[in-house]
Amino acid sequence: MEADTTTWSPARVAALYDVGNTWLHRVHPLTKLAAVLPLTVAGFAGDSIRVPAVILIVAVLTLLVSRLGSVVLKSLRLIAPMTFALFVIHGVVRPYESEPIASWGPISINAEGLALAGTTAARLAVFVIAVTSAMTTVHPKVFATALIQRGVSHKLAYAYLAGAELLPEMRLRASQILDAQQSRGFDTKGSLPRRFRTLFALLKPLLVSSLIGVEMRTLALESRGFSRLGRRTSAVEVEDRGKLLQRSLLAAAIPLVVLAILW
Amino acid sequence: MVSGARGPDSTGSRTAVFAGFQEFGVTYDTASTPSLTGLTLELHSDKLTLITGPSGSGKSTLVRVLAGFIPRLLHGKIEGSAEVLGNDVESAPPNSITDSIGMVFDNPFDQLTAATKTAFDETAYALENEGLHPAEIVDRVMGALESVGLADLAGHHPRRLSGGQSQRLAIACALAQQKPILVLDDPTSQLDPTGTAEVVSMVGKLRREHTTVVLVAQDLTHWLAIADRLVILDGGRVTADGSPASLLAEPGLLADQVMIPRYVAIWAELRSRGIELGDRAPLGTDQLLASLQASDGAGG
Repeated sequence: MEADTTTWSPARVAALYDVGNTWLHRVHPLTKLAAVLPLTVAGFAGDSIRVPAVILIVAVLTLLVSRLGSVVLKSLRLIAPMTFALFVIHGVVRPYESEPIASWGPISINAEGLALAGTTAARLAVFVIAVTSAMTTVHPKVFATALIQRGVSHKLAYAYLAGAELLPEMRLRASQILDAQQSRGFDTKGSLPRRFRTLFALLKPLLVSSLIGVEMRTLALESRGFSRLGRRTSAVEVEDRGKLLQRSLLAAAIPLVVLAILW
Repeated sequence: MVSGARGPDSTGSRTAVFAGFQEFGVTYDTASTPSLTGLTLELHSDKLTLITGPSGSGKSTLVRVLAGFIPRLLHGKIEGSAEVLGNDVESAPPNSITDSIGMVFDNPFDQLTAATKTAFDETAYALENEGLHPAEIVDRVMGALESVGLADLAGHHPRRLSGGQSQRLAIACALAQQKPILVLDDPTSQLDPTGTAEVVSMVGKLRREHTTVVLVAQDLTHWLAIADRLVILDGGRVTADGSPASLLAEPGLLADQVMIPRYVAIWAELRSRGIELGDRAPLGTDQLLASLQASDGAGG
């Protein structure tokens, strides 16, 4: 069972990985992560959609040429609900002083609102496409190993890796409970009140079984040296390289922040 | 004191003692009654010790003490003394016990790390925590997966394995760590017959390879044939201890404490009707059939 990537969450970001051997796959994981910051900040430069739009166009073309169209599709799936919400809020719901460009009864569309929604959506899209590009092209284990190599706590690395597995596991657990309830004659389909009843009937056993599972997992992790002190290694060998480039990318964010504020 | 001492166990054979309990008791912080009380027991290396008893008899608490989880991780009031591998369980340094004892739990899925995408990574996790060289990790992981028959599934997601495969994966994790003692807490209680057969076969193989195994089981059906010793707990203390065949020779006496396997019940029923089947209870259907054939051949 693969993680659903239709909405945004850190767990789903960790589950984005696609196997491949493109140039982006070969870039050091932390270089990709470091590139997210200046790219995102650059998206906020200027007060119009132009800068983020240019970044987006360049990024999409680069990804398509690099046979990474899946990154574009995943980014679209992540950004689409947010973009829709932004256009509804800024373009239709929020009141503006300027004349609307179209009206249907109480609903009116405002050009100023549409421009603001477009700019905000483009900026968010830059961030989403940068993160998605990084995470789609780095195996979570490689990413965690690279983080541990640079001194990040293995507990944090575990939390990142476990996050990727949490949602599918909860979904599996819920589906097992529902199957068990249905096999005992519990009707889980039908009217809205009945579906709510199903939801409440599911929540308690889901919570209890999850808590029991957490205790067992804690003991199992302990049995495998989770809290052991000392150096850790990885079965996956990740060459620790690109420090200068990563620092440069992070440093590049500083003038870009200044530029974004001033422009 | 305990570790390395040699002495006869309740079955009469002499092997090193790796764990000893003297009037030992545990009352969890969250409970008002003790889970173990006045427990006195020695466990021996190079044996498969089968521990059974009714629900709430303290079986799982005992193996959690053995594995070094109590009182370090699961807190409670301790009475008496317990030593595992020469370490007093109350003052043992962190990891001194868990480093040497592999633990397999009853739930095949909740004992996975939930942070790995392949059976290989799952098995490698503990070795990475030990800081082993990557080449050694690969060797050990593949060796362990090979020995539990999962080498072909090394690249599969742990959650996509069946219950039996998942339990074998948990065993592989302990084998890869080269822990000398394996503790299994009712490892087949949540498995279907196929999964149960896989795990029983795996544990039998480990026993033949002289791995020390402590196994908790509510249902003894599959385990008696490979167990060297049977310990019965009730009310948090040992109520019977000996070789399985001799302890089950009078199954009626144990009926309140043990799920008597069907082949033992049939054997006892036939004996009670005057059929001569010997004094030792059969430890499997094969042994029952052999006893019946011998009795038939003798004109019984």
